[in-house]
Amino acid sequence: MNSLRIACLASALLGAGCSSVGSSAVRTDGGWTQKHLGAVRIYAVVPPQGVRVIGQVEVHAINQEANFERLMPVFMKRVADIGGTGGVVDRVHTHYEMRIEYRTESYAVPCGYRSTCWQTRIVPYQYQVRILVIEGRALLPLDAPGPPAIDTAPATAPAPAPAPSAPAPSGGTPL
Amino acid sequence: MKSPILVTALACALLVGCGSITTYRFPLDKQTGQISAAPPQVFFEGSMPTEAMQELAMVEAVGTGNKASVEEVVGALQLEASRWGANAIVRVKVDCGYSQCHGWGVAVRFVR
Repeated sequence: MNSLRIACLASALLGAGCSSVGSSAVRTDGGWTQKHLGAVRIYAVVPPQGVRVIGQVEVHAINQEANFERLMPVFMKRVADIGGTGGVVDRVHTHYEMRIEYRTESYAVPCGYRSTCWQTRIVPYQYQVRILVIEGRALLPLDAPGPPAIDTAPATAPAPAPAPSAPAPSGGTPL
Repeated sequence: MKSPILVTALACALLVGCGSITTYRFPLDKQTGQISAAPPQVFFEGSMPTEAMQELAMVEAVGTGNKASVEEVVGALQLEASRWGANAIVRVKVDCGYSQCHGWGVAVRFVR
């Protein structure tokens, strides 16, 4: 933990800074995770018609970075990362945590005649952290080309007969 | 004469310094440049207007110190939403901690 703090401090001094932004994106429709390179549209109230859900996205940050201007571009990027062309914000959740950090501080004590001694002590420092979490779903139009089928059959094996009335896999849950 | 002015200025500075409110926004549509004539209606999470609406922006406010109240945060959200020409803010939710309140909502315009 201490080494991490030192690393953070060192990188902050170097100008890079430590970011509290974290994110995750999971494709849930069983398709290939193929990046979408175009624009991503965000919906916060009413998702559009004719789309299917292809995955779940979550972004979070603490304190100064916990705001929409910092997190929503990351949310959009993660939607695009799993191939979504749109995203819907389902849940925005803020919670507060109290954390304790132990700090070393120096203090002066009188010792002897007209002299001061310096000693150190470890004191607990309690502070509040605000955590902002944005959760949502990645969307793709229903008529968008589905994920490519995974060919697991060996090359020499005969191809199985297609089911006569089996519907094509939709590759996602209609919204 | 100078000392009352100094004291007043100091008191003002102290009062101002006791809290702050910061607003953030994330556009969901192109900004039209229109400003709302009236303060936008507020619909807290769980209630929703019946009218069809156009999403304009996600608005957010963080109040600290003496600005850490639902009233201040919702007021800041309304101010920000009115800059987007919104009729209402929907999905409004305010979470408060110790000396800090965070609120957000979606600025919308009713489509008639």
